[in-house]
Amino acid sequence: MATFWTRFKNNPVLVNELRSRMRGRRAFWVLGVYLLVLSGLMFTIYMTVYQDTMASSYYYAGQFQQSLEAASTLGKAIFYGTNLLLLFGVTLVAPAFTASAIVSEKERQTFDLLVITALPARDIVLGKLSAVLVFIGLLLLATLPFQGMAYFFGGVAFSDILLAMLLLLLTTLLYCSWGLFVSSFARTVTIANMINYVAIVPMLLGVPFLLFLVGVMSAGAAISVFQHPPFLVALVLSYAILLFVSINPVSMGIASAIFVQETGSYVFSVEKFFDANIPIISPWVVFVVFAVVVSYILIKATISRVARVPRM
Amino acid sequence: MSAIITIENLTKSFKQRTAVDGISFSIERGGIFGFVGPNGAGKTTTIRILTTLLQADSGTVLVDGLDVRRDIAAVRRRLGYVPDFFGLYTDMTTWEYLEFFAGCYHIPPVDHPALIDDLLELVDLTHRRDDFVDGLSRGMKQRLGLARALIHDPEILVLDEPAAGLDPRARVEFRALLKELQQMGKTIFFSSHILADVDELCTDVGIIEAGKMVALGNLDELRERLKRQRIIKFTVIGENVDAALAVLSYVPQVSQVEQRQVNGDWEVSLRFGGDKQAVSALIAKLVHAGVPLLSFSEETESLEDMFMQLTEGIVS
Repeated sequence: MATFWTRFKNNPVLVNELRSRMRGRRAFWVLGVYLLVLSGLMFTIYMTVYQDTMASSYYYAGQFQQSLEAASTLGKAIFYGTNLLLLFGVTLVAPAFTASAIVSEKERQTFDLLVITALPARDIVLGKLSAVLVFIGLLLLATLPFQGMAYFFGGVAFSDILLAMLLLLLTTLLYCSWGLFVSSFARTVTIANMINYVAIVPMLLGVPFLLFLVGVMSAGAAISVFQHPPFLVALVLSYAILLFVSINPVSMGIASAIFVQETGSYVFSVEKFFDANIPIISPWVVFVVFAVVVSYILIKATISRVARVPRM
Repeated sequence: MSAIITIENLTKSFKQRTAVDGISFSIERGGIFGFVGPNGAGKTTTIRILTTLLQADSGTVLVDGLDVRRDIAAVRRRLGYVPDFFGLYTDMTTWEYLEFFAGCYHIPPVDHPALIDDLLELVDLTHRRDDFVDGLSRGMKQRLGLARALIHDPEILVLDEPAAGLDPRARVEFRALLKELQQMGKTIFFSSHILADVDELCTDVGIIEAGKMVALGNLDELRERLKRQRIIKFTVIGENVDAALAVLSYVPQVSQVEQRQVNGDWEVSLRFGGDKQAVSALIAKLVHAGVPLLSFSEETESLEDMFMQLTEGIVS
């Protein structure tokens, strides 16, 4: 453990990247603007939900008092609002942070000088990745006051906040690893960014659209397979939809929140799908496994590409 | 002396084009080897293969007995590489730049200050230690690149066109620095198309054209081998030039004799087709005939002349 920590903090690539990222006023402004935008959005959510909760408030001692239920609605709205927004934001921003990591070394002609040193490809890739994770981690940490506010209003358990943080960090890891992998083979930073968004935007918007389509088809019974299917078909369909929902961080976030609300369980429940009782795992569990496995594969592939001596 | 770099039958092609075509040579430990050739001759390809940055199609490259294909990490530790581009992180100071690379070579942080101070002093950049790399002149950037290449105290320095784009003063300073490094025991392998640099620095040269080695060996030996006609000049005191011309008329290897009066003395220049012993015999004849010689010299053929003789201007 001590060796790992020493290697981590002495990794020159990490130190260099963080130094470069935090130098000057840029990091301060990024953090400032980010918190300002987030505060504005939270204020909008607060004001919108506050008006709705006024209906369930009562008049006592010369002023309106919020009922516990109304406060908890406000807390939940802030919590889900913040985290869904962050999941969406991280999915879009994280790949951009790592897209330039390796290809920019090639563009400024420092790549050869870096790989020819005694630093293994693993340390170069992990240094680049951890620098971005640390910076995005800092941005996520800065949102803790919003999460705390939701906790203060009630309706949100401490475990919800921990789970939300875990999922945000894993989403960051997954999309940073993807960005880094693209950076290892793209020819320019612009091409790397284009590849990232060509892959991510359809996934981000396509998954909710397809889910909507499946919902409409099953409700309208357009396809006979959705009407009283055999148990095995119901099982396969349910798990296919579950996997589909779970690999998109935003749909995973929404589905996990509904899962916890509806079943009262964080992890497992037996639910009725397609007229059959199907044992279902919470989408966030599937996402955790997916994010860890895919990130590992992407990081390994990136290391292998950096270590490779080219033929051309 | 033993060979520290050995290259045998090295070949590398890019699609239809053969960049390096079966070249072989070796570099002695502690020597300065100049790798000369026109642009596109295959110098950078050879250097990239030697420095483990490119895979060869065939052939063997050994660095201190280690194969560049198999022992990549060990080879990299023995080499300091200065490419033909600066490759600098412009948002770093000079000090941070060297500190970063010291970390990349796993040099303990406690040793960084002394090591970096020494290197900055060696390349004469101590006064610019806190300046951003972006603000340095070309010559300073090149010297900083050299300091970076030396940070892990490698045995061999590989420099690709180190003097390209430098002004005359920076080139002279850079040459002096390389000489100093050779005196410190480093083996230096550098490519250049600035022949004056190679001429002044190198003990051995390899001339490459269209991927093929057209000449290889000790610079003086090469000169000797390539000499078909020597250019000899001597000065005779006073009016005694006729005696000298009479001697020359009996020597069959002498041709194109020219004479002119300079400050009352006679300066004679001629082409001579003999070897070193024949030159010595010619001097003896002149002295024996009572010619009052004030000076006698042989014009050295420049590397540029040799280069023009050996190459045909083919680019692979």
